[in-house]
Amino acid sequence: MELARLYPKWTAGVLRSPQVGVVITSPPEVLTTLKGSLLHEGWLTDLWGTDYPGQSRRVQLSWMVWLYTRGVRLHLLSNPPGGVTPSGVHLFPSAVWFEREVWEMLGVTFVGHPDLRRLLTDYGFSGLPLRKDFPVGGYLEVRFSERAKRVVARGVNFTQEFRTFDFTSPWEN
Amino acid sequence: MGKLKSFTINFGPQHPAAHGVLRLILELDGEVVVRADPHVGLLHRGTEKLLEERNLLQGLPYFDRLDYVSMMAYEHVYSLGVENLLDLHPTRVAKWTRVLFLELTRLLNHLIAITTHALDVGALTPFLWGFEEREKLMEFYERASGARMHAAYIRPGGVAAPIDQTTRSDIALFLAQFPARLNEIEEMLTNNRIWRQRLVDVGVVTLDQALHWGFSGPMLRGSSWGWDLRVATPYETYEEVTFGVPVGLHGDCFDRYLVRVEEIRQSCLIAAAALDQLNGLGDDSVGAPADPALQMEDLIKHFKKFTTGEVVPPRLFAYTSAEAPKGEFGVYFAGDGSRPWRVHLRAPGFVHLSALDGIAVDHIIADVVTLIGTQDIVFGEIDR
Repeated sequence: MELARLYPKWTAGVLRSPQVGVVITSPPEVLTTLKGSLLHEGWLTDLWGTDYPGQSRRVQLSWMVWLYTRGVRLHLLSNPPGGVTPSGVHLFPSAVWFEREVWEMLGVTFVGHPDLRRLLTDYGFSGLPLRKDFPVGGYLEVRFSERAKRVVARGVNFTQEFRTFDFTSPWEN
Repeated sequence: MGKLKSFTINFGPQHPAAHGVLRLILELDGEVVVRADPHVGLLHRGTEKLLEERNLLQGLPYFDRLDYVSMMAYEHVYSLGVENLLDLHPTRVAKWTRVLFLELTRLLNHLIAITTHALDVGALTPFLWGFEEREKLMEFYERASGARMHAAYIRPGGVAAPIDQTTRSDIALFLAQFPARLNEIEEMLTNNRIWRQRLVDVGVVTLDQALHWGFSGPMLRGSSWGWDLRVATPYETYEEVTFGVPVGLHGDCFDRYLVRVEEIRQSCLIAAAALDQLNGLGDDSVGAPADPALQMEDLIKHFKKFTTGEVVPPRLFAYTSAEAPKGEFGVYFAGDGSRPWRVHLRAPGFVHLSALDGIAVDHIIADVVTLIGTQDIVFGEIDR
């Protein structure tokens, strides 16, 4: 890969997918650098975060950039320190909602984002749902109260506790 | 009289033209939109989080429920993603069956996209005709999988079951009569004066804008960029089929309508080609073992496989995307034993809707309905 040759220290490996070119582990500034050189013909199609609790920089961000003219896609990775990273909105306008989603789901702050508000969660929701320490069932459930004539929230109450089944056998590995 | 100030109205979340639960805050100056702020998430179910609790086979049915008007296209991307992750290769019969149903799914989606769009701007008849055709298509879904909508038919490793000869010949019958039905719909719309007045030069998206906003599918092709993942990065057996990728020239709503109509015609051709191939290949294995109860040992293996699911080593990840009817739908997996550590879904509608503010500015409020229609919005996938 041309990119691996150009930027060897950023190139981590090749993703296991027939369509994707190169994985780059990069500080966010690389996005700006690359936009100036290689990515001037690239367009951001996806941005998401993954939570790895236990790491000092727990959230890993992934950018997916298509180089349409070459039919190659770049996967850029970064672990922002302290969950704060510069926003890429001025480079890629498509990042506006992606960054809002990562901010509300994983708590990464994008500095310079024009409109960092909640997007998918409920009005007044608190918590970071896609972090691993957030339970699948959540903390609150809402219902319409006939007495109060409005929607009220209360703590979740499961008639059966949430069960996870682990079928992996210790003898197989 | 005092000076008129801009005022704000709520469009939705319970508005029939909002295609579901879109709450759109419109700031208006008279009738002209100054700012459109979509509030989404009213259908948010946390699919990505739920998938972290399921093994790779259990996760599949959630994908039917993402875009509930083009079900198999989404479960296909999921299956493709799992296959990339585990390096599986389905048989040719499975691949052609997938192509057949993917294109039928494209018909399902575009029929509803065009006809509900027409319904929103005031034409009821195509909607009724389109739904009659959709009904037939959903019957094919039912014959293949047992379910009219949430099929769970395309599965990691292949498809659930092969389709029989009767279904194949019935699909061929459908494909023979369908172009005439499409012509009828086009007769009602394409040269209809009202339809043209509402669509031509409305919601013009330049190519530069489309790329910067991350558009894909008909939204990008309407802006004169012939980008189709079926051609750009062929998957399944698409490289063996010859088909055209229609492209619009002006980037307005009318061009996107024409692109969708032409895509329907091309999909019919692809589906017919897939049928031919399937008839030539005969019945063959399509995925999971046909009869797991033959031997005790097979039964145990089958049980193990379907309870544990496939084991994915940590740090192994894969990103897969394919051309869903609405645009590029991508699935990202990060492995962690039998369950994925993280699944991320790239929904095309999410990206398109995020640009609504940019498109809708300086349009009349009635055009907002046209814009929502042309974006082909379905909230199952946007809110995930």
